[in-house]
Amino acid sequence: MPATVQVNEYNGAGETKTANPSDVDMGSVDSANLDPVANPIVQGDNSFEKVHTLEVTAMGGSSEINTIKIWRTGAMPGSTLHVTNARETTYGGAETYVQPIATTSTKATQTMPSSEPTGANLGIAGTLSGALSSTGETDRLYHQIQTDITDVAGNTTTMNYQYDEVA
Amino acid sequence: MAKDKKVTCGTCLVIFADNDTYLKHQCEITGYKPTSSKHFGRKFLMQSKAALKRGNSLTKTREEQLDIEIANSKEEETDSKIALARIENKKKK
Repeated sequence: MPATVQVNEYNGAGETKTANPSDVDMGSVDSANLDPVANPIVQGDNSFEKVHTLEVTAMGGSSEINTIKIWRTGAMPGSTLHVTNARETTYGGAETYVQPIATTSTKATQTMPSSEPTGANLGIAGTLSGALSSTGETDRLYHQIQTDITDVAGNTTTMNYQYDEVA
Repeated sequence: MAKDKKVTCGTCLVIFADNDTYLKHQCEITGYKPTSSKHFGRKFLMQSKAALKRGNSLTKTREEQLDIEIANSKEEETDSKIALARIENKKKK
């Protein structure tokens, strides 16, 4: 059996957890599985931040999960920015939880990679070389969409969450 | 992280008192617990196979076991069940 790994999303002041949410729609509310049609990002505004982790719920006979890589595939429309705290150099360590905001993120300050990073860009226990040898979670991923007044509505891209598994 | 706080299963939308209770529940959509790789469907099993390969840990035995699980998952139509649940969950929002 392989290890079992899921994506979690955290919302609200109380850090409400949704395990394995349906998708990563970004919008104007702080909610998992949000409806982007009912909660669109107004041109020139930011989305609420999304806070995600990868969680190992069972090791499945493996000894280690490591090398967490996060990236997006697909272009952003117009001048829209997709920013994150994930990075391969000058990693800021494990972020503490703060309720997601729609003002400009102070945690997500680097452009989300649009292709697979060379190495890990999200840490475990605060370091990019970290590993999970039992059930547990990675550091928190913060990311946000920042739009321009000239940007147009409707865009879909794919978020990629990757890990290596060692038996 | 917040182990004593409520957890919503993103597949069946049932809310659990804490993470341990969530991990022990049998999801009414997939028929499996979140600690089972089968809970996440065929695509996840294929991703697991790739993760093991990257970790230089895809032994012949493990590959054969995974291929059987992938074939079984296709028959159980877990991915279709998850996809339908996601559409329904969206409507509930």
